[in-house]
Amino acid sequence: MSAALPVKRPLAAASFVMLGLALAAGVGLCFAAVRAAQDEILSAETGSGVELWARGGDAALGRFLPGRFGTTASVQAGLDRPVIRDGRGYAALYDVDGWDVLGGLTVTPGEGSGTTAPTWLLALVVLSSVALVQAARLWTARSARWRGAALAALALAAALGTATAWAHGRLVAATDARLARAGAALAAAGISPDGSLDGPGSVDGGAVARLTGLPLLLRQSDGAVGATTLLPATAAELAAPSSPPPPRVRVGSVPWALADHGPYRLVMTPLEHTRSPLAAVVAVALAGMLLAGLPATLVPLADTPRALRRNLRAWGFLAPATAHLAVFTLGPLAFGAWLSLHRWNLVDAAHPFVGLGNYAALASDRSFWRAMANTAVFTLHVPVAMAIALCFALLAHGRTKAFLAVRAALFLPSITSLVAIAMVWQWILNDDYGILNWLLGLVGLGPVRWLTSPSTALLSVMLLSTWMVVGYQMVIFQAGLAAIPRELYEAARIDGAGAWRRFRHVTLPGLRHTLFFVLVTSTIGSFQIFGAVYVMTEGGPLGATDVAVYHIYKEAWEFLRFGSAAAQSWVLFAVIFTVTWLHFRILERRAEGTAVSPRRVPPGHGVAR
Amino acid sequence: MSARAHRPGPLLVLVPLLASCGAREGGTTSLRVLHWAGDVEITAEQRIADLFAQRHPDVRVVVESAVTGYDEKLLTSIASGSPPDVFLLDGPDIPTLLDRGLVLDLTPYLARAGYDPSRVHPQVLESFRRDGRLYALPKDFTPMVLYLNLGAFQRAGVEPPGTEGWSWSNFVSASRLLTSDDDGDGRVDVYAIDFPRSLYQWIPWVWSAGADILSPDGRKATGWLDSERTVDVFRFLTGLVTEERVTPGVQFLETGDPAREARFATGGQAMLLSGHWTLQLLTSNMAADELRIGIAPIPHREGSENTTVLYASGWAVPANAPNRRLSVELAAFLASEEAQRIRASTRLGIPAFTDVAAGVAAEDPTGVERAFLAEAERGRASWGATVRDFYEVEELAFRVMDRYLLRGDALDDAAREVAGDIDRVLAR
Amino acid sequence: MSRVRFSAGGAGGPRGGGLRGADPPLGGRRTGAVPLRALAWAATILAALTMAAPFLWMALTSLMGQLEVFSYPPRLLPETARFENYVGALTAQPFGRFFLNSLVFATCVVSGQLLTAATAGYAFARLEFRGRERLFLLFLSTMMVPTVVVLIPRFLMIDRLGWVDTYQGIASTELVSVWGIFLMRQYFRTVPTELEDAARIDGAGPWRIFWSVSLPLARPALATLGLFAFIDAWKNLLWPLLATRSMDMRVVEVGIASFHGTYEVNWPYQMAAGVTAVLPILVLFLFTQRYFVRGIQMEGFR
Repeated sequence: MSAALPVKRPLAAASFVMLGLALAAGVGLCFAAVRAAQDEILSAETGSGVELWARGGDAALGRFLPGRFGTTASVQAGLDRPVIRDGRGYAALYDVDGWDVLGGLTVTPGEGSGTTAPTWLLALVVLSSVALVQAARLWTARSARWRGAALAALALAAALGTATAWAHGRLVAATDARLARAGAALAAAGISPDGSLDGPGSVDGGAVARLTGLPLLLRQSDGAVGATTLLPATAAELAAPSSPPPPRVRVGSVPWALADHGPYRLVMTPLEHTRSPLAAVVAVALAGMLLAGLPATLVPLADTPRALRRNLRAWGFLAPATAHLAVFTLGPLAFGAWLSLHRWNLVDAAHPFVGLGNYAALASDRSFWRAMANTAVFTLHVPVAMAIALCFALLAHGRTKAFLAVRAALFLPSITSLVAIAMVWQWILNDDYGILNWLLGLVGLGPVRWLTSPSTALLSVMLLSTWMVVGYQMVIFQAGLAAIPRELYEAARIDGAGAWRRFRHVTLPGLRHTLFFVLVTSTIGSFQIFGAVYVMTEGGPLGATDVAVYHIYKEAWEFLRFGSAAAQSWVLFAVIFTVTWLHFRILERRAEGTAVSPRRVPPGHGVAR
Repeated sequence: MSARAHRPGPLLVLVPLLASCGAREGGTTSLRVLHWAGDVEITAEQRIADLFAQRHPDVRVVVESAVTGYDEKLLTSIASGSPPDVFLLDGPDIPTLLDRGLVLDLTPYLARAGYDPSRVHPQVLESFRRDGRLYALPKDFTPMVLYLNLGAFQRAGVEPPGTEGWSWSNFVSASRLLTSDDDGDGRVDVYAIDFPRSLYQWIPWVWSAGADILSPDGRKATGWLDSERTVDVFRFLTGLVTEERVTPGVQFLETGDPAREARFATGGQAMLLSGHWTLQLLTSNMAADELRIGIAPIPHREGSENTTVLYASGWAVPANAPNRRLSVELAAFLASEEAQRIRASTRLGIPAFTDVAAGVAAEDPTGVERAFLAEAERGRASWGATVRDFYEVEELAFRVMDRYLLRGDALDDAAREVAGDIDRVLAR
Repeated sequence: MSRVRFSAGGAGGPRGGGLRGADPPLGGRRTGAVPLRALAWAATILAALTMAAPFLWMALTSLMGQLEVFSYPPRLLPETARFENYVGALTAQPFGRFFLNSLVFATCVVSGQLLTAATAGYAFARLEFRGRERLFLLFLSTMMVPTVVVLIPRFLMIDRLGWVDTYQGIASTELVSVWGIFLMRQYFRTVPTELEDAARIDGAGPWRIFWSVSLPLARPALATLGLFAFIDAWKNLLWPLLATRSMDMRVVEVGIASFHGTYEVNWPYQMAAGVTAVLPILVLFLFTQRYFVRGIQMEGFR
């Protein structure tokens, strides 16, 4: 134990560094939140709302926005759509028809723009100090480890909460300001009372103001829709008479901000709803907890420097895969989690936060659960396919060219383009002239309505899938068989064991890791069956082959409900995770426990001669 | 510790590997066109794009084509903020993108781009208009028509219908005659027609019975899809399978019967409900005099008028297109007379300009193109062009007849339940 | 180290003596009765034919005319074998370029996955570290979320990096396969540890053991993973479709799919392209076979 001490000290230092990093990350996130809010305001101001158009190029621009217009050559060259750069918003200025770009429009954020430190920063410093002191105790009282971590996380969350609340307030103000400005522009542009936006009125000698995009315009008097692209039901609800209008209204969980200007009502999706502070705070709290907890978990390692070295060595091996997964998989998954709490159709800028609404809606979504049930049934083909694949692997396990040809034939289904082979299968499974029914007819059976009857269609898809995966599984089994030392067979043979006993006592135990692998991955894969359904049945007939991932796919890409699709994905994930976990709990433990591993084969029977 | 000395760096190996892959573009303006051309169309589309690039030496046109995954590609590129400069817009995508303000209003630019909308077939133009503003320039279009295999008609001794088409009862009696077991083996060798299982196929039957599936404003299905008149159409169509047995039955998939064109071309089916695109497939058989075809309107219910459906696609520019001017000019060129003439050689659709279409029809000795133009006059834009979430409506409406044929539910019950489901979708 | 020798298959030379050659785990030419073997052979051939039948029909279809494919009643053999379908299909689009693209893409993916899966799989199977099982479950759980969900953020990422329509764009997201890591982990668990122990006694470090002892032993698994990574990359449709734009970057599978037009389907061409696309995989498969069948030989080990 004497060796533990010298390592413990640098570890403690490392832990402090870690905590510092966590806090720095929190501060960074706070700034990012504020900055993002400002960017959002800026982009709202430059990208839509009131666009200002100028005739005659740069000369007119000077009059328009004195002292504001000034961009570098590079910005001007690349200026063809609204961008935000260095805390400024830039938008292209087109001629009156919007045909040629004349120049640009620069918008700098209004008062209180990021440079002044708000009061929350003070709170952050105080809280951070508390967290640090608490963390320092870590080394004196080990039981306080988790308390320290929790406190640090809390400090982070509090800091970020304050920051986002502040940003939120700014966004609220920006929404209101935008509505007011749009109203003023509406009046200045002198838009005709019938709501037509075609005749541009003139403003300020030569410049023309024009309404584009948001905010939307509603005529108040009779509830009829003016210049909007809203669904009629939504428009009617938003135009419902009330004076003055409520500042914020929810229609079908989508938030709207309202303001009346003369005979018109302006509506827009409020900026503050485009981001959800809650999710960010929770995420940061969790991240903070993990980050601050990391030193705590490292401490026991310090007791044994060998263990530390071992861990570092393992991480050397794991680093490439872990880094890639973190970036390209865990990142997107986090996005998916965020998405499942929102309503998002991929193309709308607005993605309102709906909390657990997407999940709640699933509870009563019968078609989704039908798809989940179909998926569960579908998964039953896995053991069947594995049995067939194992038979194939054993039968075709030989060296001669004949065996090679057989294996190639068995593997063909797995490598053929699915799009192309699907047509062949439709032909095979055709009710009327399909070859399968013809074969059944020979023995006096059928005809079976393979793909057109709701009761058999899923079975047909399972058949097709089995055909497709057997080759894959066979190859993996082959690789597994190759790893079983030949000497074991030799030994068994010398002991007088027959084919069955050799299979039972040498092949199966030797394959158990492979079997487990194939079972787990095939089950996971079959829960995610998509291709066969997509090309063969499109979920039909009458939803009989609608499986989970196909359902999710349609929800996302066809019906453009990405939030809901993400929620469904997580439900599916939970199911697969549970099943896999059970596999590990029950099967892998058992395999480890009872099976005779080659390395434990008694001397004289195995490798170690 | 030899471990430290011997450490293969997997990342180091990867970096040069990756860096060596990849290509960069040159300095000229690059415009991207996204469409769904298959192998027949892609040559024509590439030629048109090349012509545009020829006339604009500083412009490079990259033609991107996605048949499967078109929506995925379009929507992700829009979401990522780098949409194609011009893309093809059709069917249920029109409301999805138009109503969300993602497509540029082309009205102010038409004159400057030299595009004259008055040359376009008015019903086709309507699909891409909202409140008098035009959002896409039509590429081509087609009505759904009834193809007739005149050889099969001759063999069965049935007189093909005139330009006014059959009524339902005439259609049924002709179908009975057309369906035959030539070799007497108990299997039908020639069917009259195949069962129109998909909405895109049966919607003109509904319209030609003076019925509809949605209220005129497209907001409600109850009272329309489940109305007595519409259910009668379902009853009539399913009757072709269950009572009359003049179809091969519901033996194919939701994705469509891949064998139907072949059956029609080889005389195994006397009539085929389809659009102009099928002509391309039949051309070689027609040229070899193996096949003579006629074009007839969709049979109508006694006392109702023939009405068919028009399917059209058009070139659109995203609202945030970086090179607005060039993009609009390219879209206008892709929709121009010149482009339409090149495209007409693929025989996939009718040119959108009425005068160009008339010219193509005049050059066609078979008279098929003329017949198509006549059918287009009876056409009306598909619901998908105006109803948002139509994919969902379509999928639900699909189920009415399926439930009867595959599960034995009563048609009117099925229609009522489905109408309720559709209403919930529309109310969202 | 000098006392430890190993070799894959017969490559190790004649020293293996009587232990060379693989016996089928079932039967075996020295013990099986003749009728039993004949029966096994018959079953094997029947199975092979059944499994390959759809593909064979696909190959026959590729020689048919456009409408002949669906002639009624269906026919097995083409009226006249139209080999020009292959010429037509492969020249309708620049398939040469597509094959090159697919090859580059698949090669990047294979090398990436082999490197990452071998190292990570080894760590999970052989090295002791804290939270090993939990981390593995975390890895595994990334397999359980449908790709539909990760597709969009991945696209946004490569778009931000400016990698859309480049090789690094399509390949970068595919360089790690958890499936492969799992495969390697299981395989390393199967392989006896004696050789590694001996190397360790000889004073070799973990990287050296991994590189010169464990990795060569894992050849069958590496071959499997390489093969499957290649196939997956080769058959991947949606991701290359999204991540590429120009014709110059299109991959084979997308080319095949595009014979399936919106209005028309050119079946014979699609089948012809499909058959052609199988060939590289088939060659690779036959090539990797040597690793599966011969297995591992150990000699001079004590």
